[in-house]
Amino acid sequence: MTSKLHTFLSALSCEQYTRLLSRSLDSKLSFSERLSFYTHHILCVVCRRYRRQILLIERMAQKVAGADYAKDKQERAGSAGGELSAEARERIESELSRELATRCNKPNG
Amino acid sequence: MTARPGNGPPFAQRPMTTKRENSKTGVAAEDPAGWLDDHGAILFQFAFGRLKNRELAEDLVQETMLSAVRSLSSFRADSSIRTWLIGILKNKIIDHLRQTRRAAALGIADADGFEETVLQRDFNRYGIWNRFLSNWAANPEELLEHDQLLAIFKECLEGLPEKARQAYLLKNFDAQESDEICNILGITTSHLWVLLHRARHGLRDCIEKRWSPIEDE
Repeated sequence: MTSKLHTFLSALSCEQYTRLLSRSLDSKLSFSERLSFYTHHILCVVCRRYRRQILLIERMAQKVAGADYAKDKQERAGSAGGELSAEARERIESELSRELATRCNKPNG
Repeated sequence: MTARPGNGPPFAQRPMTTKRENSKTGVAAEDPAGWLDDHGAILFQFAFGRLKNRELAEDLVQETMLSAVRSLSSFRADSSIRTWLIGILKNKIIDHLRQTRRAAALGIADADGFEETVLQRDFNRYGIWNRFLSNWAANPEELLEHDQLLAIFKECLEGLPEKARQAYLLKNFDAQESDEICNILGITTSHLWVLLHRARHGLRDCIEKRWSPIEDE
């Protein structure tokens, strides 16, 4: 009982707060975790800033991830990683046409 | 995923409402002969961005196109062919991660030194912040419009320790469930939490360092 009471009342360390924050984005925190998280949240201005930044970064990820799939709308050339090598192109080209040929020769397409 | 009715119009007769055609040849986008020209580079960049390995990325592009040809009938015209191809490629990448997870020696304390360099440097031995954070995320709506900031985000993502980066990408870019990510990477849930925490903490640190307007405030 005393130890539980202790858990409730003692504030988290800032480091523990950052861990709980991250975990809260992936799973549901227990009641006592939420309670100590919130207590620390009220008390610590640095952690509040940290949280705001982490949440912003999560939104950046969403935005960038969304843009990843909208790429076909704005053709971007010469970006990171460069192009397929000529060798690979040739190989894929021939594999692809071979596959297409077999496909067309099948009675049912 | 609803199945396309078997007696629907053939591809070529469908009305083309969008620019889903190969502009050079006028061939319908569904014609696989043009895929390499039209989508090869994007697919390669996607795979390379995830796996950081040129040969592997090229192999996966090839596999993607071949399986796409084989399952062309499952393509639904309401998505673009490129989105569809990227979807297939994503599955190939995940399969690859799954296959290599054992070989990849997934120690949680992998030798990237991240714990020492970022996590421990930020806190003293009582777990209290070693420094005062500036309040740079006060206007999230405004900041999300900064292309420069998003570019920095991408750069920082590239710089994360590999394991943390994969976990973060699966979680935030592929929208995989936690259980599924653990399965793919062959790690426990608590390992996943550590990796994601590292990723987020590292991203925050990196963005703060690189984004100059932060210092102006």
